[in-house]
Amino acid sequence: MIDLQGFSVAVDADPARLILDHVDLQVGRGARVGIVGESGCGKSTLLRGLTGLPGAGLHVADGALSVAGYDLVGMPAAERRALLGKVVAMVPQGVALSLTPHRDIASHFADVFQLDDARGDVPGRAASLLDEVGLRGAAMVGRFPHELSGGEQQRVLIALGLARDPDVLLLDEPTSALDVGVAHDILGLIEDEHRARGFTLVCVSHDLGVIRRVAEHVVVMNAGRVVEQGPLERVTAHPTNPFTVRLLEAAPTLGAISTAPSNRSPLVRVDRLTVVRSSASSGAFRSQTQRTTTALDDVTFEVRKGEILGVIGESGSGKSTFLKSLCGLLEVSSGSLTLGDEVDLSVRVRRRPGSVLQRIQMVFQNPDDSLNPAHTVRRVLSAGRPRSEVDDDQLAELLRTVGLQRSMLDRRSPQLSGGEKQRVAIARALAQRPELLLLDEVTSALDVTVQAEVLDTLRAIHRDLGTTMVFVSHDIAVVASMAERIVVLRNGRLVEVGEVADVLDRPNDHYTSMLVELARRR
Amino acid sequence: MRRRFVIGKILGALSTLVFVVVFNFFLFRVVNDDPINSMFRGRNLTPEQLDRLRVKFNLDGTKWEQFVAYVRQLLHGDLGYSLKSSRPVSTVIAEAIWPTILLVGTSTLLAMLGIALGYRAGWRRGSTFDATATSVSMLTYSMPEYWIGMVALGVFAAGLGWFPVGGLNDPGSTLTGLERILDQLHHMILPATVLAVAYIGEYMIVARSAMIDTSREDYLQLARAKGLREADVRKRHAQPNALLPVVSLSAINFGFVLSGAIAVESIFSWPGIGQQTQFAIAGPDFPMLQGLFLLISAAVILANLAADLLYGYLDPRVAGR
Repeated sequence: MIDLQGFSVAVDADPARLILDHVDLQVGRGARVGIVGESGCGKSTLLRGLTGLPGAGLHVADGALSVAGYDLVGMPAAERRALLGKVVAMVPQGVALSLTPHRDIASHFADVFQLDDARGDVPGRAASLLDEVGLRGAAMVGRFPHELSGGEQQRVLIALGLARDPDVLLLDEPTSALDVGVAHDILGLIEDEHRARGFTLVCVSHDLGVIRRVAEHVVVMNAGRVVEQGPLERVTAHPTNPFTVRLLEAAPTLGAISTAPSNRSPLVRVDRLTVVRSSASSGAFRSQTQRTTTALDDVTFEVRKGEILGVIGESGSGKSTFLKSLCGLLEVSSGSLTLGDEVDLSVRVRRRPGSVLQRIQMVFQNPDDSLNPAHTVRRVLSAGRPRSEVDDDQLAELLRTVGLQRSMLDRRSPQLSGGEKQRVAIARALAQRPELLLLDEVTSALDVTVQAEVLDTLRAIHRDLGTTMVFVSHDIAVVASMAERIVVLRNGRLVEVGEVADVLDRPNDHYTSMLVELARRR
Repeated sequence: MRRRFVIGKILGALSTLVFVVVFNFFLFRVVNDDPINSMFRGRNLTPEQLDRLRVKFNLDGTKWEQFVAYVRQLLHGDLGYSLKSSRPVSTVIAEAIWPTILLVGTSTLLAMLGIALGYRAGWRRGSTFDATATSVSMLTYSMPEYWIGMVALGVFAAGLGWFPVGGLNDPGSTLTGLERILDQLHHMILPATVLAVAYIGEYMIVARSAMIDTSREDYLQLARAKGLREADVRKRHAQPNALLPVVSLSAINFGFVLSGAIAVESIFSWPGIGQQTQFAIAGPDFPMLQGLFLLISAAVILANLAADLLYGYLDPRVAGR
């Protein structure tokens, strides 16, 4: 069905730079292929290349591509357009960004149907496709993208891909922006559709768990090349390429679990904490439409001195709200939050004395957003301290703690890789010598191998400095590998709290057991 | 939800207007407590005559009484009397408003050609067309309109003699009907072109950057992957989203259509609101200025209201649907 030989894609501006370097790939009719690799390895370019259009600023430099017997690269653009969606259909990445915001769902389908010159009853046909992917189609067609949840949008994108009954369906990171449970359902839908329609499936993901679910044949890519490919079982059980080995080892799994010493005293007491957040809408005369949500509802637990406490939950569970109230970015509505024996943390950050501010530091999810791109690393690390007190030796020592070189001091964040940026962000927090380090999804924007390195760095910091950490993540495997105790939040309520081993082995709640079950399957 | 959005916007605009009325009134009272005294200083007027003038211009009584009287007059469409000409402000404005709408409205519409240029340039970023259009736009955008006006006047009117040097009609013109209209158009070409040249760069630059932002969106990739022609991708998926910043800009500019173009109207002796504003400032003619300010504010508020409502229509997320 798909035959790629020596397929190469180069950058228009610099034809010597190959994004894809002589890729060979043969896929039979009805097969399920998974392409896995880290960001920048060329996996998305390869997927787009299969439509004959590698993307803006790129061109096919070499090699042959044949999909269902068509040479999609060589043919005139108009002919290729007629085949898109029919021979090969793409389900793009980026749930919240891939549907045009000003057009309703039906008109997204109208674009596709018009290509067959059979417009007919667009809403009706769209609705039956949407029914097929598990949505209530009739109610969905008149809605706009922003009214849909992430999972619903992903289903719409899949239905759009299926609209012209393609021979080949290409999926780009179909679950990367979704909560674990929703992702599970989407993967189930993909499996069902494949069984029912018998198309050839090519799925790209950075997550081996996703590939394990949907693929029978796996292709491992690194730096624009295919480094290894073969049947899923063979590649995951007996990888031959060192990169594949590294990728498999770095993937977080529910493995070794540390146990907590029991005699630790509490550092932060969370007592019946409730935080009500309002989404204030702008404009005059609209106070009546202001919506409030209880982001944290009557939550009680404690953070013990010197531990790593893992906090897990899906989006909307209140995990970020908890961190933000700890560092004073959100108003506590009721209940109490105490640091040590004396300090009241229900006070907003503006009114906290400097000594309290210094004791709690936070590292945010995305270092691209939290580091000012105009500031050098030196300036980031010495912020908040008088210039006379800061010398490069201290800062170099700080960088060494997070595994970076002294030479980084004069760089700015755009000159750093994702992992380096997050290390700088961690070093910035450590510069204040905090007692409590808050880590909000600090590795979820990173590749798995980089994630593994950053997690190792955090473990080393915990071992050497004994800093108490609150580690928030949606990935239970990552949390379990870091934390000693674990807090599970859902819809703002505390589902359970306890030692990692207890929670994993004897979950009290069906939500926790689902998370554990899904993580075990990977 | 949708009705609430519309009502909210209308109420918001009305309250801004009320604020403007109040502010506009007291601003001029703070600036000059007794304009009659300063206007007629040194003239031989008895205190009784001055008092009569104060009554005529609604300047007697306490500030509060004056304000109530002002609002009452306003509700009847009465803006008071011009200090200079002693004619009702509303009459002067009514005479000046049509020439201004004709001139500035036409040039604003002409300048909106810049939107099409900007879209094209932004869609093909880095092309020769983009480079040319962008640099020409930057050039015209950076030239002040009075300067373009003077040069145009010097070259095309005084020098080459292709166009009249100013006015709406030639002085003492006896033309009627179609000839009169054609003559007015002939008079308008130069000032309208000057204004359009001065405005077009702004539209072009804003439209271009809006289009560049939109052209990076993922949903365009999906539209292409669905097999849409490039022209359809642009027309259906990109352009409507790139419209939002352009709508805001157009709204502000359309609001200012009524304010006239002070510099260009003065240079070309165009009998519009801009020229009247210049006269009133030179006076200073406070009732006239007060009336003009109110007119301009109201126009800007209305144009922004229109833009807000249009926004809600163009982008379903805004109206909270």
